[in-house]
Amino acid sequence: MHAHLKRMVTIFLLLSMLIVFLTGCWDSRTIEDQLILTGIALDVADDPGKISVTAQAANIQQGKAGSGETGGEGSNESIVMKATGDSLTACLTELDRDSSQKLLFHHNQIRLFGIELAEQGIKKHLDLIMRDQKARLEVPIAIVDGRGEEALTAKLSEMPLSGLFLGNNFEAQSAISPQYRVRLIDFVQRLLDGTAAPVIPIIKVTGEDDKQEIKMAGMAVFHDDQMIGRLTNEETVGYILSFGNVKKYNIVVSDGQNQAGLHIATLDCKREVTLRQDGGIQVSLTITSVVSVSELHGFKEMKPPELLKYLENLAQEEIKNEITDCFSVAQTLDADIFGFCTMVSKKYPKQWNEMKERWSEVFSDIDLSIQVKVRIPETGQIVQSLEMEENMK
Amino acid sequence: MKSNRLPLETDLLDVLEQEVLCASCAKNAASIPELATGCLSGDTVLLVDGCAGGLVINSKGWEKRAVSEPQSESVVRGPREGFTENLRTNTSLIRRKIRNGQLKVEQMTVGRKTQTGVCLMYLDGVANPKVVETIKYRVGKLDVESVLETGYIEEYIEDAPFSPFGTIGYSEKPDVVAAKILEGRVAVVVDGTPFVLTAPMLFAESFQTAEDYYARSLYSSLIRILRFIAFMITVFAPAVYIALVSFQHELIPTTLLFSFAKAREGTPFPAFIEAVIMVFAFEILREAGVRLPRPVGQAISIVGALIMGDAAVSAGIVGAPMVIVIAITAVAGFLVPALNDAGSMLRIVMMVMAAFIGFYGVAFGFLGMLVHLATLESFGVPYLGDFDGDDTKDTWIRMPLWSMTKRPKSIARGDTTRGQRFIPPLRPHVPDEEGEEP
Amino acid sequence: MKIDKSQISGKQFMFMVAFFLQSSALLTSFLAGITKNEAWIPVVIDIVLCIPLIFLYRTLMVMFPEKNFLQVLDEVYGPVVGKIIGISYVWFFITLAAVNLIDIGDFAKITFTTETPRMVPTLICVLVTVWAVRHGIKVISRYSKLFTIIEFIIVGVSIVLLFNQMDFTNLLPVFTQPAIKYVQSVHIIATIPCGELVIFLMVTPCMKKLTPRESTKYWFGGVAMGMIVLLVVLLRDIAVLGKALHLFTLPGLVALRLVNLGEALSRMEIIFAVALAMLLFFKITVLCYVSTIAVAQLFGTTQYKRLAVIVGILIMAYAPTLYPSSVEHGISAQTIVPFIWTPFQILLPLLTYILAKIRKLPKAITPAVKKQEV
Repeated sequence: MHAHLKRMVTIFLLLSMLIVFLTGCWDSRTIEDQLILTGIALDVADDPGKISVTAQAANIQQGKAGSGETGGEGSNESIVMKATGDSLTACLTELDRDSSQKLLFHHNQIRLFGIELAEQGIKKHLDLIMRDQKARLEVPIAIVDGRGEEALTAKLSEMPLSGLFLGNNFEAQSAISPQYRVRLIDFVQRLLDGTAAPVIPIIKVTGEDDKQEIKMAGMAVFHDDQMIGRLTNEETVGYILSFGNVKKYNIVVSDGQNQAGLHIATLDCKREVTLRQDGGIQVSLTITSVVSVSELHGFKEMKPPELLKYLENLAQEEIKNEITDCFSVAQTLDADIFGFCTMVSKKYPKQWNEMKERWSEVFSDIDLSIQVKVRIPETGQIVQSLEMEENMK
Repeated sequence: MKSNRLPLETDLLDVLEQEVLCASCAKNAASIPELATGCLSGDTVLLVDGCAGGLVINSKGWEKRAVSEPQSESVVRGPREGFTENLRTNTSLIRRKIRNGQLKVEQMTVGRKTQTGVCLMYLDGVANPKVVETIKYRVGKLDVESVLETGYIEEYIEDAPFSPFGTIGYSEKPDVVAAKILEGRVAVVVDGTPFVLTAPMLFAESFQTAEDYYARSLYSSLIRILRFIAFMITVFAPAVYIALVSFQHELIPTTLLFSFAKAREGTPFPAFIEAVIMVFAFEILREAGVRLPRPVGQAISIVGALIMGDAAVSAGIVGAPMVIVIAITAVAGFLVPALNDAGSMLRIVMMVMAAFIGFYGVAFGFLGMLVHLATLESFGVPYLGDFDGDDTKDTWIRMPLWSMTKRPKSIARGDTTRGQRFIPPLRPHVPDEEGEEP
Repeated sequence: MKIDKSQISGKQFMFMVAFFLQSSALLTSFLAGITKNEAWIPVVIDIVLCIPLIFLYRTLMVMFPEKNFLQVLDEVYGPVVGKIIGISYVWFFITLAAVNLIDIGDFAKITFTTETPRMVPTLICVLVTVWAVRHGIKVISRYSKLFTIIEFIIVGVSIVLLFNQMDFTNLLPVFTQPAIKYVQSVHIIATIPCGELVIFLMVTPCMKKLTPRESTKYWFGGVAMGMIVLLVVLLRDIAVLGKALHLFTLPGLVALRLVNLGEALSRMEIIFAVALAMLLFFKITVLCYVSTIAVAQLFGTTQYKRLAVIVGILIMAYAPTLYPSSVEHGISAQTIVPFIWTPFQILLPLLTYILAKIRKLPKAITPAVKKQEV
């Protein structure tokens, strides 16, 4: 027993010594020594060939610690830092060097690229983000109409940290349609597809001084990794509708004199692609949607049952037009933003190989047929609008 | 004169013992040490001039505590009797629960100076004979000076003295001990203490209380699962907190991270030191709460918990999240009282592992604990034995009593059937109004 | 002679086989590297192709119930040749253990501890492993069922959480790649997850007596459970990551990173990583145990407890010398390793079986010999 005990004590001491010397504290970082990044933006710098990186972090003020005082977000101000360098690594090194705390990437909410940089190409700037374990692939990316740093330095009335604001905003938008929020992984998947054109949302900073706002300004269309064009907010509607899976979105239809606001509860789109005899392809989109009425202007001469039918037709027309409009813009830009090429490659791999080369001409020659089926099961709390009331008498 | 005269060679002592004295338990002792022991045990010694030997007559009648509610185990529903310090009382309490000829009581004396009486009780035919032999052998071989409490014996006969987990159970309630004997365990009752040992003890027993079996099975199952979770919390919570705050910041939601950072802004110590301070403080408070006289004890617990914790946070020594974590740890620890000491020790080990290498350390600490549990044995029975096969009916959950038709295979040998398979009818059986059976 | 005197039941064995295979689900990168997002096709093919292989192992186990594999080699090939082949098998086991040890070190380095040198998590793993091995196979087998179930739960939960991000059309183009790639993939899968099961032939003496039918049931049950999990995990990764699959070193973990159930639950991959690390730990423990028993058998000793520490240190020292970087590790796993493993996993057992049948082994055991064995 005695020898056994001695041996155990020796082992224990050895292990303790090992622990002390081989400590994993190399990895240990205390929270307050970290600067929690909430947004990062890349822009072209004044020197050609260089980029400038702007980082936004949360400033945790030294409030009164203790009970009763919970620091809300109102006391969080944002810290904005800027650096210029050849590459993202160089810039980050500079940022690290000049601040007393280490940068914490894990909670980064958004990545922004200035529009000029986007036109030059962003593939090489994504490399660090994909390689580093600390940066995350599901963070949304966006293009800023202007310089990226504007978005991060913007003083919003809603939230002091515009990075957080953008993150939440995209999160909310993605509830409407997943296409509104493009995460890095989505972008990369599109890039790898080859001929598909990736699409990234654009935001714009408006207003001045303390009352600035950030608005959505459509989508940027890319060819490979360079931006070649944009869709306006209206054209974006067609884009997201064509992918289906749209919930809780409002559209406005009109037939000249009357207008109706419709609330799309669900919209699904089934896509089918078939080969044509002459080497082109035919794409058919079948859209089924459940819609409810949210607002009616006019429609004095109609009775409720026929009104619903009429509205359904209007809605169908509208959806079809949106998608067709968007499609023609895409054709003008020669960018397959809808991902039709991916569908072909999956369904007809053999033909795809030879079609790849001449995709531009195939794309401009696509036979697009859209069938829309809209159903309006309910009209809200009232059946007739006030204007229709008069007619009923 | 009596018609049956004793033969003339009969010893006077024998006559006295058999015919004259009307005391139970009179013994004819032949040596002085025996007489001395008897005297010291409260018996009366009768020496007759001219006789070789003396009579030791049972006349024990010292002051003893009445049977009262046990202090360490209180129940809402169930018997409130507890053992006392008297060996005979204790054995009689158990005998009253198991009125069966198979219940064997074997008496021994241990302790050179204290000569303490020890009783081994077990059900013959159900208990594993090997286990009984082992315990008898180990207790018999004890060469100690004094045995004042079952804890002494426990330390000498247990299988793994350096493990944080105990391999011998104890209880202060006769119904608990009786239930364990019925399952095939051996009880060791020691004179002078109300705590009775039961061996072998398995891991699952630490999570079982008497009340589990008197309350409804569904509720008991939920509480049983809650106890497991509580044990995990009490061992791992501080470690997980340290790992989160020092290493894996990405797991914390962003807004919570802001408030953590703000809370830690003013504190000078790294998370590990903070945690150690708090655990230390908690252990001090707990110990103090037990030792203090009753009226003062309440005040101290309130003072300690609320005001000291709050003051520490205000003074900036520890952060508010740390206090919450320790509070939860502390409270969770009391759900499984049998593993309280084990929990305290393991908690510190896990904290060290977490401070060392974060979640990976906690994971391997957990694995180490599992490995250790798998290697423990209690008197030949694997410590995790209840988790094999059939016996799981009483481990994670408490299946209804009517479904537990066999005794635990790990403990019992021999007669292992408790009862027939019985399923309560879905529609209760009610005789007709005329008294006939439907 | 029996080195490890503990006994495990057939069911425990089945679960051990299952989670041994499941632990490989972590490392799908080498599976996906060749055939990219059609990697599930070779796996399906392999499930069928492995049946004869598993049957071979099970038959060897049934034929020589009280002997571990090195003893079988001695008996079939004679003492001299048997010993030589035995030595090469010892090398095989130790290398397998070392390779997996590097895997867990790399895994820890990528996920948990990015700055700390790889040696530290490796050391911790080895410490706990050696401790477990010293107490024999019963430690691992006791937890086999529990951990298999946990792995099932984890895979199930991860699929549910990732369901809305899965795009099953990513599985689609089928058979568009040159046939040789499929053959290569099939070969890789046959040797790296499946063929490693040959190590369980060292565990034979610890098994309780099983009828051949039960033996088949347990072997195939375990393999089925393991391969199903492997296939499901691969399908999940392909569905979520699509074309980007082959870019990543640990595709499984990247897929798990994308789990997003609202703000609070969005960065859960560490929890999955912890669970996967624990599974990998069990795999390493089994491998270390087998290595220790093999070394003990080779030197004719029953003192495997002391050997455990030595073998553990040996493996830990050996592991970093195998590959200069993880890139080479990955490339080697795809190209060289399957060929090195094939003789150990397929050719030699097959040869042993044939020779045993030809020589009409095992001989009937007389009572005297049996007493000596125990």
